[in-house]
Amino acid sequence: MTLLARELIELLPRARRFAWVLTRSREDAEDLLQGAIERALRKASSWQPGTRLDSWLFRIMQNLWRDELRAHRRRAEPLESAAGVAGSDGREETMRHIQTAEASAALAELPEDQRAVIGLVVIEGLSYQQTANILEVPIGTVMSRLARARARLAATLGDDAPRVRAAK
Amino acid sequence: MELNDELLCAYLDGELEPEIRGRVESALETDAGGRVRLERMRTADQRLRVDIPVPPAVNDDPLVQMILKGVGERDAVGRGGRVYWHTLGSLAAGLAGIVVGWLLAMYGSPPTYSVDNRARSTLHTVLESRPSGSRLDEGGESAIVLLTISAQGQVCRLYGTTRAGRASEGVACRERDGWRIVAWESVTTLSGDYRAAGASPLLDAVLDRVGGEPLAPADEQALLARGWRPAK
Repeated sequence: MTLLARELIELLPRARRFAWVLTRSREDAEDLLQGAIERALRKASSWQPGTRLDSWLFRIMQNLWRDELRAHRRRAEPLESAAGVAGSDGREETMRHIQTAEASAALAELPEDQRAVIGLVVIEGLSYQQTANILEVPIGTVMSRLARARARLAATLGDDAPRVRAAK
Repeated sequence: MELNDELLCAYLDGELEPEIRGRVESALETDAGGRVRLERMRTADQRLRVDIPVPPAVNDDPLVQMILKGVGERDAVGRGGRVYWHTLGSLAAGLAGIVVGWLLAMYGSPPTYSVDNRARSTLHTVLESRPSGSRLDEGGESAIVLLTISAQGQVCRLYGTTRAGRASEGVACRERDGWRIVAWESVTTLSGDYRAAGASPLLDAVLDRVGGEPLAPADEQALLARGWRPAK
């Protein structure tokens, strides 16, 4: 087993979450993730061991999703409820664990470009430079998108709700 | 200093140089509105992270099989195929005495097995009861099975573990009384991520000596259901 295979397998849960943040649909997320893994395997030689695999894979995912949006001129369907996830294989079980609560709904209200930045910086914890590289935009663009997105999220999620207090 | 949203975001994300960070903190002391906006952003961030956690690994994840198959095919091309020398019996006798002894001398005991090299606790649970691609997190320790191979009627599994910021990978083989680790290797972590300095020639060599190919999910599931006993 190569280092790439090991790290890709380790990365799958986070990649699945990022796919869901981008698409807001379990089917689209699985399709996107599968497409990204296929492309990553085809381009395996372009990844350098010792560099961050998550940034590399997220960039592939972002590019694929951008192509998909351009090709079909679509937006993702409204946020799915976890209660609506049904079926028999393990992927649904995974998606059940992604809580589609109030915060997820607020995330869904963001424009695509702002949601991607929130997904990378706030949820995945990447740096501004890494995010700029993934999105192929200047770091100043990352900062402005992040500020706009956070202002909107703070307006809807900024109150210290009881559930959040309990989680502290 | 005007505390605009971009500045507050950069402060929140630790992206500011120390000097500017200090100026922001000074400004926050006298800017009640800035403090409120900052706290609302921080709260919103926290709620996002709570509501959208990393999902658990998927059992029988078809993407795991895709990765193993896809990378494996490239390995075979790049390395000219695998050479299988001996049976697992010779592996256990040779590698358990030589490889593990050498590794223990270099690194000390790995965190997930006792001095007789029997897997225990979290790692044992994963090895014994979970399909490849499954990850278990408990008690500050995580373990994941990466693949299962079977040859000569015996079974070995490649796994990864992390505990207290230390990560290791190894190969464990099933014996009558449990899983015995025949080789392991320490890997480094960077910012909490699972990251190694390079591929592991040692573990690849061990797997080569075991022989066989990674089991398909259905075959692995059947073997697991039989308690790792070979089919009659």
